[in-house]
Amino acid sequence: MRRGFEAFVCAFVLTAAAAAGQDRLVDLSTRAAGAQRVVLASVSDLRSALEVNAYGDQVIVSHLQLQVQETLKGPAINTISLAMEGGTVGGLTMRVSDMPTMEVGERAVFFVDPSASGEFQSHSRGLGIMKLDPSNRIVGSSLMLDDVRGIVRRAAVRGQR
Amino acid sequence: MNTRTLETAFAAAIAAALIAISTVSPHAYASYASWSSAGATVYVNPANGDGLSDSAVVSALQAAMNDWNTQGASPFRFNYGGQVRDTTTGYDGRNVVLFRNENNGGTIAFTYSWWDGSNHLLDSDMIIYDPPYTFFAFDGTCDSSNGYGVYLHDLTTHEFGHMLGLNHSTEPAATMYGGYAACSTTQRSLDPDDIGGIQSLYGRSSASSPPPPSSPTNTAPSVSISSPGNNASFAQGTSISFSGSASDTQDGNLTSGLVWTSNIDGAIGSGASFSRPLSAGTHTITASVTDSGAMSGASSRTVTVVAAAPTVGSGTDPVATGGTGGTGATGGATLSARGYKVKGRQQADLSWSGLDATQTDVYRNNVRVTTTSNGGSYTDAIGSRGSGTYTYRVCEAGTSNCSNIVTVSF
Repeated sequence: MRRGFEAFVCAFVLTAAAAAGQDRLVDLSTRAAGAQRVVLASVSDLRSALEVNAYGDQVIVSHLQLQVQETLKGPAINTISLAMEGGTVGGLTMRVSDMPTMEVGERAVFFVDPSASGEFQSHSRGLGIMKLDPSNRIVGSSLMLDDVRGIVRRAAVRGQR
Repeated sequence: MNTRTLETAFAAAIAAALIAISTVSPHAYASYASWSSAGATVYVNPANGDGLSDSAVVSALQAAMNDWNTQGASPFRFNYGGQVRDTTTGYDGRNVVLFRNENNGGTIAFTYSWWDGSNHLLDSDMIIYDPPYTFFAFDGTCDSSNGYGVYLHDLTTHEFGHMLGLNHSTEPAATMYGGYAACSTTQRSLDPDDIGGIQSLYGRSSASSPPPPSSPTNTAPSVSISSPGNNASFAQGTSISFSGSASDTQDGNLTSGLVWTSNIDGAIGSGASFSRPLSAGTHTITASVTDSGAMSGASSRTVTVVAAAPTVGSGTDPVATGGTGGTGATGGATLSARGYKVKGRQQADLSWSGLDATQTDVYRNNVRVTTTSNGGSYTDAIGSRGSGTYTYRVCEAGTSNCSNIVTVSF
């Protein structure tokens, strides 16, 4: 009964993910602890291109310029370059099922890690990007930005002990 | 408030919240594009890191495709196109499912979808990531103890939903809801929200929805040995023909997976047939196979090999002829051997030259007995009494660069 209950709670927390993929249920505090940086940011620029990823797959990659409004974890920073698979080139669109789509002007809480290319990438793929609506509610969930702030900061404090 | 009461109260609060969310809109499904032909042909590279047979993987994936074909009650149809060897994907007009033996940040699987400016799907590929997850193809076999067991059928029913154009649903009971709980079998049963999703893209068919199919119950494979005959006798040195077959209700023909062993000589071969001599003695020969559901089958024969007069041979064959360590030869590596007995027990001195690596693998009867420094010699204390015949070769450690094969008989 207890295990079943916990799974139910985890599933509920997962509704906070804007684009949860086929993932094992990973809660928000685990994601916060694992990501090197967590920032509240808006997309100020976005460019997409056909590229070949590390596995040899032909994909469309979008390169986002993020204007950081608040650093929840990690050193304070003004801008971040983030690469994520998916986007549109010409009339051709590619979507990855576990990644959200982002447009210029959209805001989100980004859980990110550095990558070998020098750009950041989202931690835990789609679970690392939590889009916000104008009322600071996480899209597709009942979580508010303040809830995320609290969870991330508690996770960061635990990580420093 | 005791634990059960607390859980009940908390669950009720969460359920109320979920109801509130689910009543915001008339449906929870979402979509991004659709196939203009109301169908998609899917190819499968079944190679995986969990030892699932090709047929088990294909069977699970076909069951997942069938979930949408039947329960969806729409004209849309997935068609299985056959097996391929693709290891990468891209916009190539071919829809492929493949496994990748990589850990991808916790993701079990995802689907790439490509579409044009008219929102018509052009290509879709599914990638399934192996570690740390373990995939299971048969009902009742999933191990949820570590939280990483996954039924391939249910996982791919969700992913095929993406392949036909559906995005994630916010309905927690839907197959298209994101996330997978260990060993869950709920995703193979489409929720009304999923059916609403596929019908929003492709319309409704008049056919009624049959009950969701279940994966088959696994049964053990059967093994048959056609040669050698039971209680057959051979003179030592004779090349003995071994042949057999294996079949399985779920996996089909498993003959290529047969493993042959002797209670005296150890592993002696694999697959449908091979020939080789055996050492003197009465052997119990066993051919065995394990299916993708971890059930095994075996068959045995008794074979007697009559000893020949003791000889010591030094082979001249320049090419290693099969075996665990490889099949190649350095061209310059030469091995010689001398057999003798110490207090009645068999022992062989090996001497070699022409191997360059610092470590040398020593094989007896195609089984590595040791890895030793490349000093050019090694004494193999076999330890058996009486007669026996052994083949030796040495290889640069971990490579297929090997010496000739020599035979030592006692």
